[in-house]
Amino acid sequence: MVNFKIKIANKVFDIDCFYESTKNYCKDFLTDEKSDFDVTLSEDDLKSEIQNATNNHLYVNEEISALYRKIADILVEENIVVFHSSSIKVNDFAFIFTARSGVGKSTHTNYLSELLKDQLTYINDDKPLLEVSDEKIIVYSNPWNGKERRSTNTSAPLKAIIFLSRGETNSYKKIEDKSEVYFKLLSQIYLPYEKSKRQKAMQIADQIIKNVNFYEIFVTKDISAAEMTYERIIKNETK
Amino acid sequence: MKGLLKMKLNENFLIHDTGNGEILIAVGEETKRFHGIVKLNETGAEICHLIENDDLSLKEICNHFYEKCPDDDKEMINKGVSDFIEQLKKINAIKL
Repeated sequence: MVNFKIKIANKVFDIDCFYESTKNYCKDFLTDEKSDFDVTLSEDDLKSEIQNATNNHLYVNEEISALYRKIADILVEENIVVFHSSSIKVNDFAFIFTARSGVGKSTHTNYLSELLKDQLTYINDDKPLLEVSDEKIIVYSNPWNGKERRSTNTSAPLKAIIFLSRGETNSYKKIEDKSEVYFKLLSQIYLPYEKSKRQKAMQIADQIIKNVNFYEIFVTKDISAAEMTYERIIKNETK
Repeated sequence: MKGLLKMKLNENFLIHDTGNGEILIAVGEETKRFHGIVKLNETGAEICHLIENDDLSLKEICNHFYEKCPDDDKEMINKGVSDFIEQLKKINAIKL
């Protein structure tokens, strides 16, 4: 077995797993601090990540997915959910971009990065964590950061969630009627399998809806789209 | 006998109040079969709560609405309740 500890969203996880590559995957989040939670991965955990597993299958990638799922299931009890999106930090505040797969949220944040240079930090480009409390929502990074592995071990208070669609021209609107976004939001949140945990994740989603500003943007595939997002949304939200 | 069979909400479904209407969503084993979210109107939510709390037959659910809405046409109530129950059965949200 491989043993290591990682710290994400200010929680320390003591992990027992099979593959050294999983530890390597989590390398930016390794810690020696006292653990809050123990996570042990079994062969059954890895098998359940894929259908029709064969006896000879190597579960390297499944282990990374299984670990993500186990940690996400623990974090939901701590008022933290995984939100499938690209998250960035600008002027010490977090902004989240979400879209259907293939629409181009990473392309859009690429243009924002090109525009804002050192002013922008990627928090997590795939599965940031949102910690919800009465006062605020904090976005945290974690090792599960998408194909391009873009993330920084950092956090920031969330200012806005931006739903992105492709457009012929660039346009944006602030969403005033939040019932419009409920199903879109829920479809991007990791909902645990177990009933009580799933219920908790949905309660957290309700709090996110209440406490965050939402925007819808239609964007072209060039830097002018990033200019609009920065000038009209990010600048206004961080004034 | 038709309409007298007792029904219960499948415990692998969850009714959630979003603060802006209620929804029905699968949990546990049912998530493998049903991936959607059912947006419930007021009556749909009431039916789901009725069969969540008690084993009720179609006839008993209809009786509940006859008493609650005495001015409404009984045939309309029967059709509305039956159609909704059929939808719940299709997604396996009801246990007989």
